[in-house]
Amino acid sequence: MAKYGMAVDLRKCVGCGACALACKTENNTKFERSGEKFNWADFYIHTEGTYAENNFKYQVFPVGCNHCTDAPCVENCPATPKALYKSADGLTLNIEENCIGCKKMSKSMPV
Amino acid sequence: MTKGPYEVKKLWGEKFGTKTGKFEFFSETLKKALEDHATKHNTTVDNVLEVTNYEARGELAFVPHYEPPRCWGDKSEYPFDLVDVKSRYNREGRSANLPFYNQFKVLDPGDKNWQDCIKINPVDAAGIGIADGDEVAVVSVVGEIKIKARLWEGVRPGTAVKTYGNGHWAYGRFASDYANLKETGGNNNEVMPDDYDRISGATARNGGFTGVKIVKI
Repeated sequence: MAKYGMAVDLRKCVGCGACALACKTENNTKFERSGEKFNWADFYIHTEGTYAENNFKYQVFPVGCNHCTDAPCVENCPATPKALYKSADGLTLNIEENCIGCKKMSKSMPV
Repeated sequence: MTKGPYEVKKLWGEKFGTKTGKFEFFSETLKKALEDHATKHNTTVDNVLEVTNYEARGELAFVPHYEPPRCWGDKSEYPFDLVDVKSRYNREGRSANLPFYNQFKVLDPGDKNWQDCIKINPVDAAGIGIADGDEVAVVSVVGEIKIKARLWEGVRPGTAVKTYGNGHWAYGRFASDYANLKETGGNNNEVMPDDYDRISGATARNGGFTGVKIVKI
């Protein structure tokens, strides 16, 4: 069986947001304002330096599920039965009925 | 459009739509247009140049030359040049009512989601006592808008940057407070004077032609 993962070359990312736009559209998620409680795909924005010193840097990292082989979110999921699991083809998936909304998964994520 | 390969020098030989039929380094076409205009209004070409806000006089006007940029509002009173910038999620000026436009606004460097703001450099902000997120009035010689101020290192000191396309009061529930017919954010057109390059007719949009001051409310 094929094993899937996610490969993103962050050196080439220009922070356009197309990854999250596509994700939210494909998965038909609710709008942020209409009660969506968590982000399926988000961004981490890193800045450093100042304009005055001519060393200001701006970088956007898309934050989506990387479908880790050894996923800490699955390991740390406290629900019984677990809401998160690894599928046979390598994806990290969520069973929403089992989720207790503790947010431990996002705290477990490698940054 | 002609089909097939271009025949070399086919369009050469005084076929330009100019007075001389040639490419003009010295524009006889512009000279004729301005002279005709001046004669029609019983004045001189130099007077036409003066009232249309050009600084060149005489034949300098008909060759490519430098014209200094003009700015509305005296620097001492309106210290910031307004940069009327395009949001990366804007299609022309009509995207403010799209939910994703607002939900992804954070990816316009320095912006926040669901919020219209004017961005200034932290050095400038410290000078006028403005903190990140303050409500401010952006005032020019023709009008003012009230929005949030954001401090952002990506902005050159002396300029104030705001995306256009906001400030609707009846455009839909994402672009405005539709139920109360109240605008969200501000419309850059409220503060930008109606000004044009008189010879080309182009709008003077990107020349930093609007001086603004930013006042904490």
